[in-house]
Amino acid sequence: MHFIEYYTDKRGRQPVVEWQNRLDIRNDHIIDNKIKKLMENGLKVLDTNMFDVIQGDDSDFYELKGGLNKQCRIAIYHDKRRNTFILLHGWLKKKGRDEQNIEQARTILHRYLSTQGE
Amino acid sequence: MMVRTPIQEIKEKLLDFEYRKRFGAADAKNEFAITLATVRRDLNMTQQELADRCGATQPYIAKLEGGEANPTLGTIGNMLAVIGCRLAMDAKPLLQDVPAPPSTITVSQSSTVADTGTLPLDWECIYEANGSGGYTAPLTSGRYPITAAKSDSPALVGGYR
Repeated sequence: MHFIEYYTDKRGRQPVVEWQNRLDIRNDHIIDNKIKKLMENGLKVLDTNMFDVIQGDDSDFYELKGGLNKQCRIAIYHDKRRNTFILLHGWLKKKGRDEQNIEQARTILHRYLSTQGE
Repeated sequence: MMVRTPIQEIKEKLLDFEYRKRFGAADAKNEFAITLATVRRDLNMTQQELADRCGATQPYIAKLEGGEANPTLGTIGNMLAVIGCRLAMDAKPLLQDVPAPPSTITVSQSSTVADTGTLPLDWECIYEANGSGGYTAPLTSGRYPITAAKSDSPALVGGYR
């Protein structure tokens, strides 16, 4: 088993939990099961079509793809030092909005890294 | 505000029987996705090569490996046979330490599942990679575990008897 946790900000808010609570019921179980598979298999599943690497300067930065028409996305960071996957930010893929969401995920990632002393 | 964990969230949602069924279906698809992708990579095959052998298309293989397709058991058997493998299944707990929802009946009295609550189902794959993306006769054996959705419903378990 691999450790997975939601990113939690200073006020105790967890963006991915809040996003999932708003998610269509037809998408929720699909996303949850992929999170479970990540928990069970770790890096092995990152090579499947369930995940993609998020291109850019940040390493160990991935996106989970799932839901109806693969429209749901969750940005994930693999914190090797803590051997933990951090669920940073969730969004619904829409034309033209993807970059904006990836940038938001990147901002959350850098916020997370700053709390880890990196 | 209480800090939640993914496992907590899933455990709580699994108390809903409808969610549990959908989660089980997704689990089977995703497990097959991981297994297929692993075997294919072990054989040094591309998705296109696998598609050509199976008479399928590359986008369909991509869908299977993304856990998005819903192949029949026949299609799965077909596809695995093409790469020298066969399907073997196992019923395991859906999630560790998840209490059964009150509306379900446990299968502890089931003839097949009685002893352990699980069935010994694994992928068993015997193949020989020829180094050029293909395979020849059986040489190497490997086991690729697959999780089948363990059901608390006798009706669903009946399929295994």
